Amino acid sequence: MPKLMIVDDETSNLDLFRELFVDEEDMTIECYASGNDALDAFDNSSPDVMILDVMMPGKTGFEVCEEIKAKAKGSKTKVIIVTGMAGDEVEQKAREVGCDSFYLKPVDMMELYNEVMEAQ
Amino acid sequence: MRKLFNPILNSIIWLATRGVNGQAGSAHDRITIFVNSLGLFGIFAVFPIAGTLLQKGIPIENSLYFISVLITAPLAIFFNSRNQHFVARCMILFASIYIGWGAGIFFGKSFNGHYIFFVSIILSLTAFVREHWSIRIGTFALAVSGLLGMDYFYHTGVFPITGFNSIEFPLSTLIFDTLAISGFISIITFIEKSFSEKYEAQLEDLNTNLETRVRERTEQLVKASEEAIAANMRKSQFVANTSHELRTPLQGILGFSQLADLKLNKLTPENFSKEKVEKIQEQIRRAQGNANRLLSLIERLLELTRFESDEERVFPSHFNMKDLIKSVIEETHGSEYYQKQKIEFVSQLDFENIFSDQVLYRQIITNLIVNAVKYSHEGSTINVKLFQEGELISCSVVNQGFGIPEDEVKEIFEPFYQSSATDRRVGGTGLGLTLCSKYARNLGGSLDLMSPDPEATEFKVSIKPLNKEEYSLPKAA
Repeated sequence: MPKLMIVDDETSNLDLFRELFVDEEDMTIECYASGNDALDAFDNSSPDVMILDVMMPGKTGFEVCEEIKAKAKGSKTKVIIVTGMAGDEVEQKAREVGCDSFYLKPVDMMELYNEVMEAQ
Repeated sequence: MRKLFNPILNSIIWLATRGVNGQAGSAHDRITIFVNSLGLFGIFAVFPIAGTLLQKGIPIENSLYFISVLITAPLAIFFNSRNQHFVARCMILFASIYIGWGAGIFFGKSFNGHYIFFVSIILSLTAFVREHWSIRIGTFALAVSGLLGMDYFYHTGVFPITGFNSIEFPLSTLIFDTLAISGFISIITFIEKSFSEKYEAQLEDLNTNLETRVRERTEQLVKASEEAIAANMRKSQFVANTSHELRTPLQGILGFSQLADLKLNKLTPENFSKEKVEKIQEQIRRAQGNANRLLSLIERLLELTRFESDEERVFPSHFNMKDLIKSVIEETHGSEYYQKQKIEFVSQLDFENIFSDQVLYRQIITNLIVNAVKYSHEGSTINVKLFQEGELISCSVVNQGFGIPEDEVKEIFEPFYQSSATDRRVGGTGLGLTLCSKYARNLGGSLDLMSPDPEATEFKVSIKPLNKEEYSLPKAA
């Protein structure tokens, strides 16, 4: 089972994504409402996969992704960016900071589920 | 041949253009060149004429006029190069007089008429090198009429100014008419010069004004285009934000309903349990909650655009301001979420009833109080004060809390703006202040941020009581 970290400033989204995996019994899930909190916790928890929002107070998802990918541990983490920000340049920027997958909200839950489960 | 000719031609051009220091092609330059050319002509003309005189055996005292030309012509060039153009031109005129005089003696006729016409031609030419037509024609007319008049008196034998008869007093005529003509020419030159100076000054003024105006206009243009770009950027930002804000509750609706669907599919008569059904129900409720959030967002967006296009949607009635604010406070406090702060309300008004739109006013007050609660520390006090300011009635809401960072003060009334001082968990659409500030303007007042101090954030809404007369009659469609 992959270790999952969810980062989104909308608590409603944190709940939603957590509930998607809540039935996977031996899956560890950590939720953070800001990029800064997620970065602080990253080294300790070293998740295998991360669902990451972009527009957040403090550090944006892009900055978080870039910093994580620069870490030795982080380079193995699969980063899935899920954002409400539409536009080609947003997706391009997401690729530039090294994310593994990019989804525009609203994301299909099954697709997200499979994407997370593939990471191992 | 060319080797010999070129240096001479170059020196002549050099001499002719001495004293030219203005902008190329200006009227001033042309006059300088014209005067210098005449001076050069004077110098060169003297030698052949003097040679002819000597050859014909005419006495030397009559040749003195030619020698005078030899002095005045270089003087004209000299003064011109010193930028004393007026003196230089007088020198040219004297030289012309001497040439005319000498010519008269040489040809053995009455010289008066000849030299007067000569001077007239010189003056007319001077007039024509001027730039402006009114100066050219004016000077030309003065020169021709004055000199023709003088010529008429000369032929009657009576000098016009001194009254001396030229036959009785030949020497005095010689002296006085020289003086008088010099004076006359000086006056004409002076008038012509003052005209041209006035014109040049005007031209210079015009140039300076033009420069200033061009600069001003350029600045205006730059500003306008910057504003247009900024407005455009605000618009695209608004659209981008709207898209983002709409997608967030949509994620909740789709996500939770999908989760509920998944759970329902897994549900069989064998594994059926009350908890599982409750879980599914909760997910459906959360989907509905997000749907409601989306609906209120859409409604507020519509309201925002409606108020942008229609400023006069105000429906006033009489209401009690104090009661209204009290009831808002009670409602806010009734909510479980908002019981962590104390709200103190003071009214300093002598009256309580006002004629205005109470629905709009209520929305403003609610928004301010809810915001104050959201953005203040637990256990702190929120102060609400109602008071009069001239013809405005103001309500200030002060809270102790997160404060608004200085660089964000400008933006708080922008759509979708939410202070970064808190995280997004405080909720809201980010349209509240934008709408309320519009409402306050519609009620004849304004909504202002009085102090963004972290210790005490103060918002103040002021409204102007509406005139009942205006609203008592139904408006014509």
